Formats: sequence, C-alpha cells, structure tokens
Amino acid sequence: MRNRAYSVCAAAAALVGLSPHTGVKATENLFTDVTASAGIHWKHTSGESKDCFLIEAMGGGVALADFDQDGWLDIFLVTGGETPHAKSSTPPRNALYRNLGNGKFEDVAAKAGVERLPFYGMGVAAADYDNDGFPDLYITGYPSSALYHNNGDGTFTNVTEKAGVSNAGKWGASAVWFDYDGDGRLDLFVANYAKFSLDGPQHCSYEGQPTYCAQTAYEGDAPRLYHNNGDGTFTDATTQAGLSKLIGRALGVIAIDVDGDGWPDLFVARDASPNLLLINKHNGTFEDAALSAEVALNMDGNARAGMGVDAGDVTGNGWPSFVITNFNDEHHALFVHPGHFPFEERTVQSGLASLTRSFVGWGAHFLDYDNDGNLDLVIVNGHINQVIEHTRRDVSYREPPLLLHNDGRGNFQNMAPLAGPVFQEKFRARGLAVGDLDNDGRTDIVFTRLNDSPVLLRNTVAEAGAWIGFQLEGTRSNRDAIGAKVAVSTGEQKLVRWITAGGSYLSSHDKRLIFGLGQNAPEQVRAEIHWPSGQVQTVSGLAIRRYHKIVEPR
Amino acid sequence: MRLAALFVLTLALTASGARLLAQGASPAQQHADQALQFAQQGDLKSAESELRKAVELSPGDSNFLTSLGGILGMEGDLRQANTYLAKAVKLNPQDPASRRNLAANQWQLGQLKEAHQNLDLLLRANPRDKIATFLLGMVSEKEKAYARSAKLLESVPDVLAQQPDGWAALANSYYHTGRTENARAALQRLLSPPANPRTVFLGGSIAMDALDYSNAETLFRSVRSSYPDRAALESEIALAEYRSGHVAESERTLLEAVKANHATSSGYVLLCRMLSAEGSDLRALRIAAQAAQAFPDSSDVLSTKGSVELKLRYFKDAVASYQKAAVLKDSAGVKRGLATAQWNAGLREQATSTFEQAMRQFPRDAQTCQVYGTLLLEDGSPENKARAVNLLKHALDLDQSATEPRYQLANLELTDGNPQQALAYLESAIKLDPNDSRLHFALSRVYRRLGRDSDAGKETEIYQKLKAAEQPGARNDAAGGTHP
Repeated sequence: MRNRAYSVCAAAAALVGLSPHTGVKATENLFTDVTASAGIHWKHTSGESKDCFLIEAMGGGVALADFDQDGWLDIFLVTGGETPHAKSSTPPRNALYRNLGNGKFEDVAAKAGVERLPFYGMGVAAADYDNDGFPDLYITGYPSSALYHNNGDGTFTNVTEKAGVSNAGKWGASAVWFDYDGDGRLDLFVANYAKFSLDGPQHCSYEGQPTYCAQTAYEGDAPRLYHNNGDGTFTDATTQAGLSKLIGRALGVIAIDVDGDGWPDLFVARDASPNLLLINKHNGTFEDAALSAEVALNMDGNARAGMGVDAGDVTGNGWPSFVITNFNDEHHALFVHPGHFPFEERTVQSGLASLTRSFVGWGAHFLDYDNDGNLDLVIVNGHINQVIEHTRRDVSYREPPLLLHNDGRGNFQNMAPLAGPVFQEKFRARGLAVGDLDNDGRTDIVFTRLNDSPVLLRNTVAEAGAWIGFQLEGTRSNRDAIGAKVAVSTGEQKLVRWITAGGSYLSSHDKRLIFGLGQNAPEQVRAEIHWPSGQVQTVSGLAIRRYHKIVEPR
Repeated sequence: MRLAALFVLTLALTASGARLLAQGASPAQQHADQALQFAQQGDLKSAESELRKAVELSPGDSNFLTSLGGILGMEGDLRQANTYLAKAVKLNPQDPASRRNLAANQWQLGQLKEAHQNLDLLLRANPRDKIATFLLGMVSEKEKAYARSAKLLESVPDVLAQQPDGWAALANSYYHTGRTENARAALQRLLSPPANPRTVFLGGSIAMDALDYSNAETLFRSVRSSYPDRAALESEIALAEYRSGHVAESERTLLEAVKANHATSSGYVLLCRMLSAEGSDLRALRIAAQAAQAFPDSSDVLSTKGSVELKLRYFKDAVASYQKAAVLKDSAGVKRGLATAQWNAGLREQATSTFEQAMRQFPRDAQTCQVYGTLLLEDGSPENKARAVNLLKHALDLDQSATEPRYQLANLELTDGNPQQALAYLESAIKLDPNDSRLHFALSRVYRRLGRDSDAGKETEIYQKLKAAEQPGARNDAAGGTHP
C-alpha cells in the first residue's frame, strides 16, 4: 500500500487553492505519471509504413486483471504487428506486467507464454471464462484472434483452436465477455471492424500528402457471438442470435443491462455506421433498438465515427448512461438514460460538445476519481491523419487526454489545470483501462499510445472522499459476476454501479467496484447486490475505506 | 452600335433625296453631299461637321436634321441625335425615316413608352413597315410583353437576318413564353452564319438566364477566339459548365483562366466555391489568396476568401478577410460571415457586437438571426438558450419559408420535453422541404415521444430512404478530410 500522507508545499497549495467546482483540495496533481518509476518500458509496435494500412493507426489495447491472484492488479498490453513494408528488427511482442505490490512491475509475458501473437494484435478482453478463479485473455486482431487460458501457475495456453474462437478472416477490435443466456458461463462477443487485407493497401492523400484512408473506404463487417459450451469449447451463435446481418464498422462494445430486465444487453460503438443497442430477448437472440432508443445517430440523423464506449450512472438516477468517443467536430456523445427509452442526448448541455470538439477520441471510462460519489470521465484522444495540422489549426495530430469532473447532474468540467502534466501533453493515445493498481481505494489509469510506451497514471488526489470497494464472486452466476448491479445506500444517497465487461476501446478494466462516498460518509453502509443469476442479496454494516469480497449465495 | 445599318440606310435615302435637289445646288445641299461622301468613307466626325453646317444654313429642312440625327446616332450620341430627329419629325410628321430612327434611339435609351408610340404611328400609317415591326418587337421584348414580341419578330425574318440581335431578343421572348425549342432554334441562327461575337455572347447570356446551360455553353464556346473580353467569356463558360453539371470541366476552365490571367473576380469566386464544395479547401484558399491579390477591392472575393478560411477553421484569418470585405461593401452576408468567424475565433464579445450591429443594419435579414441563434446554442447555457430561441423565432417571422429555424426550434422543444410544440415546427418545415432527411428524423423522435410509434416508424423509413439517397458509396477520402 502506498503512503497516502503527502507533504504539501504551502506555496503550491496557496496557488492552486480550492477548486470551487469540485470541492477537491488540489494540493498536488490529481494524477501522477509513474510509468518510468514503475518500470514500464515496453513499446507498442504499429507497423507504421508508407502503405498507410488503416490498422496501423488503430491499436492497441490494455487489460487490468490480477492474473496470478496475488491481490495486485497486473497489466497486459497488446502489440500491433508488422506490415509488409515495416518489419521490426525484433519481433513485436506483448507485455504482461506483473504488479509486485511496491509500485514496481515486472514483464513476465515471455514466461507466461503470451508474448508473441500469430496475427496483428488489436485489443484484449480479460475474464475467467471457465470459472476456475484465474482471468483468461482473449486477444483480438487481424486476420484472427486468440484465446489464452490462464493455467493458474503463471502461464497461459493458447486454446483458440480447441475453443473454436479464432474469428478467422476478421479484423477483430473490441471484445466483451458476458453471460447472455444466464447459464453461468461467460460468452464472447467480438466487434469486427472492416473487411481488410494487408495485401492491397488503399491509397489516399490529404492535400497532396499520403495518409490513411477514411473509414468509408473499408466495407464494414458483422460482429461475432460465441456461446460458451462449458467444456472449453464455444459455438458460433452469431446467426442464431440475429447478429449476422448487422454489418458495420464496429469498434467499441460494452455489456450492461440497459432496460433493467436483469439480462445483459450490448452497446456497440461503430465508426461511420449507426451504433447498435442490442437488447437481449432472453431467448438467445438480440434486437437492435438503437434507432428507437435514439443512440444510433446524432440529432441530425448522421452516424458518427464511434470508437470507444462506456456506461455508468452519471446523473444518479440509477440507470446507465453512455458516452461514445467520436471524431473531431462530431463531439464525444453523452446519451443520458432517463429511466425509459428513448435516451436523451445531452452532449451539448453536459459540456462535452465544447470540451471535445477538436478531438478524435478512443478509450473512455466513467470513474469517480475523487470519490465524491459522482462518476467522472476520462477520455484519451489522438488523430489518425498525420497531416491534419496542415489544414486544421484547431486540431492536432497528437491530442491531450481529458479528465472531466461530473457535478452529479451529468455536467462535466475539464480538470486539465489540476489533473497533472500528462493532461496538458499530447499523445496518439488509443486503449484505456482503469483500476486500483495500488489498492488504495482510488482509481488509477493506464492508457496506450500508438508505437510508444503506455502511460500509467497513479491517482494522487489528496483529499478524495471516503470509499468502499467490492470484489464479487459468482457461484450460480459467472465467477467474475460480470453483469452484477450493486446499489450502495449511505442514508442520503443511493449509488448504483455495474460490473460491466468491455467499455472503453480495445481494453478491459479492474472488475472490482469502487463506490466514492464523499466527505461525510457514515462509517458503515448497506449494499444491495443484483447477481446475474437473478438473486438479490442485501448486505448491511459494511465498513468503509476497504474492499469487501462477497460470494454469491449458492 | 446595334442598329448602325438602319442609320446608314436612312442617310442614303436622305442623300438620294437631296441629290434630286442638287440641280439647284444650294450651299446647304453641298454640305449635305459632302457629308454623304465622308459617311461612305467612314469618317463620321467630318460627316457630322458637314451636316451641322447644312442644318445651320437650312434649319427648317427635315432631311438635313434627319441625316444629322442619323450620324450622331451612329457615333453613339443617342440623346443629341434624338434632339435633331425630334425636330425633323415635328417639321415633317409624315416622314417615316426620321420617326423610325427616333424610335430606334428611344428604344436604345430605354424610353420604351415614347418608342412604342412612334412605332404605333408608323405601323398605323404603314402596317407593312418591316423596320417598324422589328423595332416594336424589340421594344416589346424590353417591355416584357414576350408573346407580342415573339409574334412581331418572327414576322420579319429578313430584317432579323440583317439584325442578329433580333434573333437573341426573339429567343428571349420564346424562352419566356415556354417555347424552349423555338428559342434554341433562334439562338442557333447566331451561329450560322456566325453573328457578331458580342451578339453571340448576348445570346449565351439569354440562354444562361433561361437556365438553358448547355446551349449557353455552346454559344459562349463559339466565340472563344473572337470575343474581346476573354475574362468575362471564360467566366461565363465556366459558369455554364458548372450549372450544367460539368463541374470538372468548369473547374478546368477557371484554372486555365487563372493561369492565363483571364479570370474575372466572379470567376475566381466560382472556382473557390467549387473547390471548397469538393473538399479541396487548401486549393480553394490558394486561389482565394490569388484572387485577393488580383482584385483587392472586390468585397465578393474577400468574403469568399473569408468563407474558405472559416471552413478551414482559420478563424483569425477569416476575421481579417471579412473585415476587409465589410469595409469595401457592407452586406448582411459579409457581416454574418465576420460575426461567425469572430465567434469561432473566441472573440465572443466582438462577435456579439457584430451580430447585433448586423441585425440593426439589416433588420430584415433572417439568416443573420438564424446563424446567431444557432451559435448561441453551442454552449448549452440557459441564458444563451433563451436568447437563441428569441432569435430563431424572429428569423422565422422574417422568413416564413425558412426551414432551419423551425428545425432548430423543434430540437429545442424536444430537448425541453415539449414534443407537441416540436411537432408544429417540424410539420410546417416538412411542408416547405419534404426532402430534408433531418426533418423526418426529428419528426420520428417527436412521434416517439408522443406515443405515436407507428408514425415514428413511418418517418424513420422516410428518413432512411432520403439518407440512403444522400450517402455516397465507399470513398477513398483521407481520414479527416471529409469531416465537417
């Protein structure tokens, strides 16, 4: 555990003062870049070349999970790969950084057997698909994807062929583990991006300079749904589930119960294709309700360039709202769930429109960074057109990440002046995952950079609110409890959070839940857990400022 | 001079009349004879001088007055010519030549009522007076009495053969009476045998006005090597090409004109707009900058440059361009562009001031209110929203045919949970523009909130059909190149 007693420089405190909008006393940066001190030096390989294959500009993902179950969250990073005219001197490799618990990390990817990929890597979804207590890895890419089973001894085995989840011939982007049929086993949904080939580059130029073609030059593809048979194999259920006709350029996906019926639904962010809101019909099929729920398009009826997506209760009404990252000028969108369909787009009213107009967004996640009880938002950005600055003075190729504070009503304020130097710098950021890497009850952030090392941001909010954390373990439900809904009552407030899977872009988050309880929290709280199996469990007298492991009653 | 031949004819008649009297050989007649010789040699100044002497010696001789009027007309001094012709008519009301020439000049001076009266008198006296018939046809065309003009002009084909401007006027009358094929045939007469390049250019312009762009293009192209004002011609060719859908050709024509230094300011403006519309904004900006150098005093050029800069989001440059344009020629469009550029450049106070000024200066300009109102909605603040609503409503009051304020107001009502009010705006907007996919999309949202799911579904279908028609196929645009 890190030392939380910070020595405050009086002059700095006086200068920064009290942030009037957040109530957070910002004596130091809200987040501190600890990448180098943590020993993280791995770099992503995109295979960037003169051919400008679009895939070079799109990766890669990051997963936070405790792979060795030692109580500390580890970090898995997906590399891209080589392209025909961009060969690496050393083979591109993934990284699995084992958290040593002292602020340091050790790359054990080679030892674990997850270092090399037989394809161009994109994203990662980590979850315990066989309920053996150890998180496994599904790594997406082109022209196939792979499932690595966690052996529980620090190694993984590639079980793709046996499992039948290779997603062959597809360009897989984000993937999500979720139990869509309620059988207690995690199934797998893969968002496929576009028809693509490394044999024939598409040539595009912008004002005479070669650059990546727009997404519309690539035909979209259908997603894939694999049903978990429970014996280590999966069945392709795409057609049976009614998903095979949903052609489009899918990138981001999150699984969450949107309509409150206790069954997990899917929100799929798509690039210049209408977003999908796949409502679980309880019979193994899904129905796309995005158009009638008014989350498919913008208010003018245009599909935006959806990349990342996340869901969370940003207004405190107990329903999940969605954020979708888009292209510059399109604004990253906020769809607020009013408790019924259709959703209300509050992109402008929330402040997101003006805050994100210049950015091309990728990973995004709702997190309560200051534990005040409201879900804030972190978004990473970065353009794909290397020469965009030749024509646009308000848009840059490298772009800063955004840390946005929520006032509790879904209105966001940019915290860049207080958030730390990283939020003033510009990157080609892509994947983003959040989790409590130092188990201090404050959410940390990892994001990836194209062709570069990731950035590890330690949450250093000086006077964060009280908190309570949960690690749920399903018994009748899937062991990760993906799909569980937890409501914490503090007397005045009822906070609702979900254990989602997916969310952000190409990435996978800490599956523990942290509830920020603010400055005036009672010493004990009550939690109501809606397990994916349908069981509702109430637990009272839970002490704050610690994690609670709760096992689903059998 | 369009009607030079008429005057030569008149002078010849006058002179031959005078020759009959030459046996007496008065000094005045001698000057008139001398004038005839000068006129035949093309020395109009000397002819005028000789005739002035004749008139001075014999002021009551209507022939000398008619001849002097004719020569002055040939020299282009129609007003002075008419002074002498009017005197001649007064002295000899029965002389058709002087009245005919007087009417011709009056027509050219735009004195249509007077010309019409004189021509009526001539035709009453002699219904077979072909010149008078021709002239009345030309006058009628100017009076927009197109049916009568066509009837008169088509009755004198032999005069039209001598006066090709008549074919152009006849074509114009045909276009206006819906006889497009006849109009095209009339304009065809300008090409074979080839008429004066200026007349052909006139014919092209008439075809352009009638939206008959391909015919206009043919006429303009036929005088490419002979029309003296090359810049104007190339500009018209490009415009005709553009409007007939030959955008690439139009662009090429203008680029060549720019290269050869033959571009007009309107040509530059058209080229910039075309390049910008196709997404070649940097090229558009380069051309606009070139145009601004060539035509530093053209407000249109500078405001076009501003609009390209605005699109490129070079907001500060756009502010500078619009400011210069506003100094040269203030208009609602220029003010609106300036205010929009200021707004986006972060100069909110200046932008607000410019918008307010524009609304005071051009109180009937609906677009300014609409643009201002829409911009105010950007930040989502309640104060700005209230003002925006007022502006959008005012824009609608000013222009009941506008759909944009209706669309914006409908979206606001929808956001505020007032679907019934949104419905009213959208229903009226769709009546005005049934093919705007956004309106149907918004209407489907309204119906959904009103519980009219079946209607919502229908509107969604219409939206999808319209949207599908708008969507281009797979395009090899660069990433970021086509986004707004």
